Amino acid sequence: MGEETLINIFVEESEEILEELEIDLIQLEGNPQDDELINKIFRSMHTLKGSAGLTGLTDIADFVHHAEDVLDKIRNHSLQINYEIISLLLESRDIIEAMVKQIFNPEYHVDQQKVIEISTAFKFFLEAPVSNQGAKDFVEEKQKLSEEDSVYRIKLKLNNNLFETGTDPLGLIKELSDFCDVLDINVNLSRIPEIYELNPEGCYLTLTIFVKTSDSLKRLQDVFIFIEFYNEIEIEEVTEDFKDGLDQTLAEKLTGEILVERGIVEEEDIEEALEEQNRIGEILSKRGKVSKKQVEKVVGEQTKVRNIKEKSSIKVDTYKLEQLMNSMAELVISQAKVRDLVFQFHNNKETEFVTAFDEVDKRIKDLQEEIMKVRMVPIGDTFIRFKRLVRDLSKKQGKEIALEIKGKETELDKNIIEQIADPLKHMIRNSIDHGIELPEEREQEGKNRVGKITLSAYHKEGSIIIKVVDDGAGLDKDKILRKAIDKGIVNREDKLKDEDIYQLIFAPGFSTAQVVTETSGRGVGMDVVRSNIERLRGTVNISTALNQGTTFKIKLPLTLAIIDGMAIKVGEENFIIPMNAIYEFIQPAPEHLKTVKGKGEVVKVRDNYITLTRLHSLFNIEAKETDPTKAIVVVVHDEGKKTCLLVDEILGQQQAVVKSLEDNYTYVEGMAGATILGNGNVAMILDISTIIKMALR
Amino acid sequence: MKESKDNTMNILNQQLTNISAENQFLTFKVVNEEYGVDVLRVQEIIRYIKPTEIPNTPEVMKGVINFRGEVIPVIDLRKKFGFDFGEYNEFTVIIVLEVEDKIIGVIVDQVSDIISFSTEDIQDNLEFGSDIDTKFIKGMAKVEDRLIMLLELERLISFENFKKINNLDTNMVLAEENQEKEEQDEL
Repeated sequence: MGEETLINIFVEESEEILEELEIDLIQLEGNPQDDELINKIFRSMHTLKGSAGLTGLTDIADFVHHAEDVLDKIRNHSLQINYEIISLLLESRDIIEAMVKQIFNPEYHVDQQKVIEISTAFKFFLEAPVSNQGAKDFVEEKQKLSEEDSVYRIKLKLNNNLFETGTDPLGLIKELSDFCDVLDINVNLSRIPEIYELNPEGCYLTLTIFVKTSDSLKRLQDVFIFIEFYNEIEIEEVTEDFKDGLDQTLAEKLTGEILVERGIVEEEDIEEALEEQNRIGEILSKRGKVSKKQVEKVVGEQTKVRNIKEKSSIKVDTYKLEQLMNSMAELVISQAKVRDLVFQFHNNKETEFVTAFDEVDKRIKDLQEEIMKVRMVPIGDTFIRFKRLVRDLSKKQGKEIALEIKGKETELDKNIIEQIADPLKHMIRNSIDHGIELPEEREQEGKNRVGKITLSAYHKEGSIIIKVVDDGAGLDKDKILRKAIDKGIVNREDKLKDEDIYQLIFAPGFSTAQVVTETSGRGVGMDVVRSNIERLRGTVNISTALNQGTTFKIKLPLTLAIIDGMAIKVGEENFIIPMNAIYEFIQPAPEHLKTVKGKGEVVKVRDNYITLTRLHSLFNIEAKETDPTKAIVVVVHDEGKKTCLLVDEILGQQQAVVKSLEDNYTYVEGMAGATILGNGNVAMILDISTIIKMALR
Repeated sequence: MKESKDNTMNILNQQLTNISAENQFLTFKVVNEEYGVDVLRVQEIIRYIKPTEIPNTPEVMKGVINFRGEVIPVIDLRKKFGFDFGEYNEFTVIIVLEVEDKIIGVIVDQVSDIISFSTEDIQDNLEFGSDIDTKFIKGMAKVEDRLIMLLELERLISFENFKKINNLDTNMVLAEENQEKEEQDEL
C-alpha cells in the first residue's frame, strides 16, 4: 500500500473518529460517571495516535499522546472529570482536526500557540497529585469492578433431602451477601418433577449464583463447608468475562449456552430442545424448564451487550445511494408511463393484465420505501453537536444556558439532515445571542439563572417538525418594526399582523443585535435560514412572548425525493397535491356556499365553515368549471389551518418524483416543485402550506 | 416546407455535437432581427412544445418543460425583447442553453445556422438607436449583408431578478412590471 493511500485512509478515518469524539466528550460532561463512554473516548484517542504514528504523522501522534495519557488517568479514576478537562479535551480535539485538515490543505492554519498551551495544560493534569478520595467515592457509587475484585460463579446442585438437614439455601445466600456483592442468582427449575411425583418436603433446586468479592476463594468455600458432602458445589472464577459490569462473552453466545452457564437449565435440556428446531428459549419455557421471564432476562442482557458491541453495518458512498435514488426516481416515472398505457389499452377481458400491473406497482412501492429507509438517519447526532456550540458561546457571553434535546431518535432523510444543520445552528445562535438574557437580568425577572434552549424533533402528518425553543426575552415587536422601517424593509404605513412582524427577522439585511458579535454576524444569518428551509420545501414559523421566550418551528417534508400525490386538473393544467395535505373531497350543495362580506367565499363542511380558494383565480388561469357545486372541492390542511381548493377534476393518485424548480429556475411561491408525468409532460406540485397562506391574505 | 425546416434543426444539432472552437455562434431570428448565442452554451435545439405554466410568474416565463428528465424553465424571447407574443408555428424552436449553471430554454422564431466570426468581425462598442434594449447585447457582427446581435446570456437571463419577482408580494411584482412597462414606454 502506498503512502498516499495510507494517508488518505488516515484522514478519512480520523474525520470520522473526531466527529464521534466531539459528541462523546459533550455527552461525557453531562454523564461523567459513564465508564463505558470514557473507555470509548480513550479508544478513539488511542486509535488516532496509533494510526497517526503508523502513517508517519508524528506531530499528530505526539499531540494525541498527551490527551490519551490524561484519558488514561480518568479511566483509572485518578483524575476527575470537570469543566476544564472537558474544555481542554474538546480544544485538543479541534487542534487534531486542524492538524488533519492541514495534511491536504497546507494553507490551513494550526494555532501553534494553542498547541503549546494545551500540551502544557495536559502536563499539568498529568502531574497533578492523585486524588484518592474522589476516586474511591467514584468506585463505590458505581459499584464497578476494581482491580482486586473477582467474580465467581457458584453452582449449587442441592440434594433432594437438603431440608432434612435443617439447611436453608436462602441462609447461605444471605451469608454470601455479608461479604460479597451478589450480582445475579438463577434457579434451574428442571429438576422439579410433575406434581404427582412431587415430594413437598424435597428440595429440587439448582442455584447458580454470581458474586463479586474482594475476599479469597477460601472464604467463599467456607460458606458451603457444611453442605459440601451431600451436595454438588462448583465454584469457578469468571472475573475475565465480567469486565465493565456486563458479561462480555454474552454477545457471541447462543441463548442456550447462556442459559446453561447461568445454571438456569442443564445441557441435556438444551440438546433435547434443539432437536425440535425452534427458538430455544421458547421451547424451554413452554416445557416449564425455565420460566419465560428467565429467558427474557438473559436474552435482554444478550441484546444489550450485542448492541454495545457494535451494530453490523457497512459503509456506503453517499454518491452510490444518490445513484440508487435516481434510478428509483426514473423507475417511478417509467412506471407512470406504463400505467397510462395499461389503463388506456386494457378492456375488460384483460383483467389479468391489470392485476399483473398492480402487482408490479406494489413491488415498486415497497422497493421505494426500502430505499427511502436506507437514507433515513436519526437526527440525534446533529442535535448533540449543538451542545458544543451552546457550551462555547454561553461561556463566551457570560450566559448560563442548558440545552435540552428531545426526540433525537427521530429519523429523516440524510440530505435533509445535512442541509438543516446550518439553519439550526443559526437559530440556536440567535437564541443564545438575542434570546437568553444574562444571568443577573434573568434573576431580576424572577427566572432561573440558567436559561434553557430546547431542541426537539418529531413526526407529524407525514412531515417532520423541529423546534428551537428558548425561555429568553422574547422578540420585541416594536423594536423589530422600527428597525425594519429604518432599513426600508417595510413602509411605515404598512399594516402588519404580529406574525408578519416577527417574520421580518428573516428579511435580508435585518439584524436586531445591539452589538454585532462574532457569531450573530451581520444579519446574514436569518435570511439564509429561511431560504435554506424553503429550498428543502419546508416552512419556519415564529411564536414569541415577551419575557417568556421564542419558539422557532420548522416543518420539513419527510423526504425530498418522491411523494404520494393526487393529480388534479384546473383548466388545461395538471397539478399534484401531496396526499398528506388532503383532508377530503366534496362537491358542495348550493346551500352550503356562502359569501361573507370582506372575507370571501366559504363552504359549509358538516358544521364548519371553511374558506373557499378558487385555484384558478389564485393562479390566474382559465378554469373549465367555476361553479363549486359542479366542480370538485378538495379540503386541504396544514398546521391546523384548512381551506377548500376549487378544482375542475380529480385525475387520480400517483407517485411523484419531486424535481426542484430551483435547480434550473428559482423558488416560486405556492409550488413545492414539479414532476414529470407518465406522458412526459410536467406538472406542478402544490405547496399547501404556502397556498393556504396565499389564500388567507 | 416543414421537411426542410426539420433538416435545418437536425443538421445544426449534429454540428453542435462536434463544436469546440471559440467565437462560433448559433444564430436565430426573433421578429425580424437576427441574434447569436455562443454555441458552447447551447445544449440542444428542440422543436417547440407547449410548456406547463407556472402560476404567478412573469409573462415572459412561459413555463417549464421536461428536457432529458430535468424540469427546465422556458422563456419567450419575443416577449423578453418587448414584442408581443407571436404565433408558435413549425419554425418555432426552443434553444436549450446553459446559464449560470442552470439549464433554460428560450423560444425563438426560427434557427438559422452556425457561424464563426473572427474577433475583428465583432464590434462591441455599440451605439444603438431606439428600438432595442442594449443591455443584453455584447456585440454585433456583420456577415455579408446580415447584421447579427450577439447576446450576453447572463444579462439576458437574470435568475436574481426572477427570484426577486417570485419571492415578493404581489405589490412588488406589480411595481416591477410597471417599471418594466415604463422602461419600455421610454424606449
